[in-house]
Amino acid sequence: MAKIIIWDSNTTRAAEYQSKFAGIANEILKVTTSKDDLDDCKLFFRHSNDSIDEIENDTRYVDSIKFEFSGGGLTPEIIKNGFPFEAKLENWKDVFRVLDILDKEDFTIDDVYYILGLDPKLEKLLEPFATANPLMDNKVLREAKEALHTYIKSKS
Amino acid sequence: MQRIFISNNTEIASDKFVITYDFNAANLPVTNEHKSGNTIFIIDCHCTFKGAEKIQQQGGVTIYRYLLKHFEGNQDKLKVVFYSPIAKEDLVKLKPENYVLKLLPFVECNYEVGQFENELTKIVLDNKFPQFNNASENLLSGWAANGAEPIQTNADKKPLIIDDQIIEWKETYNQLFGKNEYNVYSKEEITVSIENIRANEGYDLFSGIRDSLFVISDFYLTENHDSDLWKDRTVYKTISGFQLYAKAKSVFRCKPWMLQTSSNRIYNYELFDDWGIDKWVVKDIRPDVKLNEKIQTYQQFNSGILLLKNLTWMDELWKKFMPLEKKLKSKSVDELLKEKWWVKELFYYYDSKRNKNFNSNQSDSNYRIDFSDTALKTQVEKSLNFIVRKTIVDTLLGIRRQYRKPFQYERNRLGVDDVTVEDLTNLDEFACYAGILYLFTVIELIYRINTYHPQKDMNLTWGNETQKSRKNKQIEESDPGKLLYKIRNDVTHIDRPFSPSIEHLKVYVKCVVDLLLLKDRNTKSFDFLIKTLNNSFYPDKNIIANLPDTITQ
Repeated sequence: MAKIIIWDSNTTRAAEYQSKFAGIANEILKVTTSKDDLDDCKLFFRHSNDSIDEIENDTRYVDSIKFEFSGGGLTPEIIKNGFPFEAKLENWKDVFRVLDILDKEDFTIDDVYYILGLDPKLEKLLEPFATANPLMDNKVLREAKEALHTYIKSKS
Repeated sequence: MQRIFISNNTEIASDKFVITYDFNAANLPVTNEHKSGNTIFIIDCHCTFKGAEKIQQQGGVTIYRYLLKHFEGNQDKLKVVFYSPIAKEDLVKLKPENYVLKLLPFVECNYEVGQFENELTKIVLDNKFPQFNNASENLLSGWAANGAEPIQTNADKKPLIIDDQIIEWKETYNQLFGKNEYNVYSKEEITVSIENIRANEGYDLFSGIRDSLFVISDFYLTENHDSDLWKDRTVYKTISGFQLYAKAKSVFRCKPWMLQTSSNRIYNYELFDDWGIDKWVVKDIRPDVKLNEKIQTYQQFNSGILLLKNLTWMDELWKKFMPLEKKLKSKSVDELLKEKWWVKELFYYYDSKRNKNFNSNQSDSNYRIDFSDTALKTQVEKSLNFIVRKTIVDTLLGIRRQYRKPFQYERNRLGVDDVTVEDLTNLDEFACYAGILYLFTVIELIYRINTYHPQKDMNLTWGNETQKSRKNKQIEESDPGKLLYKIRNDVTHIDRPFSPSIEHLKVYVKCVVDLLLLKDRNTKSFDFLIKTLNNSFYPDKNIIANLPDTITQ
């Protein structure tokens, strides 16, 4: 399922994106101009050459964070140098998370979590409880809870 | 008590309440039996499903919001307990918008034998389940996401909230205003008062409204919403919330009032707008509201509160002024002549205008007026109406409208996009210009500072008690009345030295009302008014020196 859509029909650039975002390309990023790929879109990067007429009223597009760029693909320079963007995240402040990580060399799935306001470490620490039975005596879970609490306290 | 566990864990989740990835919260298998009040829903805070794929997203709260929707109209029967390995305070720190977790029964799991069961049993025995509905939970959520700062009213009086579903709003308002920091009426009390209003009888809510800081009320108080029914304005006027509002406003015309209703129909808003509602906010009753929208909903609510707080001084002023307006309606000019010094001044004013003997410079000491003169009385009555009903009331209405300006004109006022609130100060000036001229007319009329008058106390330097004739029209430099001219001239001059603001007009109208309420002519009080205006309009200059600090009745 794609979370980041790069709306760009240029196949050369598409290859560049796939390479640049190799760590997340298959799972989380899609280079496309097909509205069929918009499910769960959170970040929408659009190349100015490509029309969005077909999707501009589509809630999947409307509710995403939108970036527009032009000329030479989505380079870090273009991203950093003031292209227009519009925030549509649940919490608008999360858009700054995008800016936080723009000058990274390699993007990972954790970066996407970060942009979406999710904490990968917290998620990892919560995993043992995903299907926990609260009625049971469970030493493993007690230890996992200890680690979870330590992390949460360190965050605050 | 039937226990329904809602969880991803098939081992513990109740039949039909196992949460899978494709789970659709809108289709929760809630039955009428569940709504009997004998069911308790025990929800894993961290349920995951499509749309809440991550454990930390606290998908269990999403499920709770859909339960609220299912229990619409039966919220007293909804009993929910959350559980998590994380303390509820920490859960809310991680996701402030889930503040409701702090208020609902909660078990922090220790994964020790009997701990969960013991705590759950205690919760069931206590049987205390705070009530919400989607709208009240959404407002709470938006408030928490905005920083969870309690609303400060900074007043002796308390807001009054009139809502037939107040039980479902109490927990939210307790957080927003503070427990015991607002007043409410029960559904039964509201129903009786509406019946009384419809029967044109006295109603219990009257005193609560009178003594409140401001009012927040609902539109549909005793009837169903009938959302599918097309209504014209005649029908809207029969809705209980409007009838209460119209009845209360007929007496407390400046009571700051905000409608908070699930109705988002523009026709309803227009009706209330025509009747002078100060603010309208919509209850968002959807279970799946995005965080941005919740934040906006709270910000709208909060901006309404700020506006109401700004308007409370008008309510106080109106309550002082109201008896005079009532007297004007019920009493004759003869009676008012005995009660208010300035009514006599109006007689002199109109007589001096028509009296030929007076115009031929008759001796002041011989000048007398016939107060029984019918023509004169008619003129005075007309003038009383002008002062009381038109000038003061219109000024107050104008000020109230102006306070709403940022909400009405912030954007695209004249079809241009780049107008900012700061650019709109000319509107303030315009309203204040009009208001000050209006009020100056009253002052001028009752003190006749711009007219000749033969009475010995005509001169504004009353302390001298000198005999004056029309020849001595010129007001002396030291005369306090000079300041009134200066204000009028300054606000109307093209090169005015300052921009008159609503704050100026507020001070001016309060001074004029205080003056009209005096029983006797009172030099010191007039001087006090002058000093107050001096401080407001020219804070850096003492234009008139040695004026008193308090008003004297």
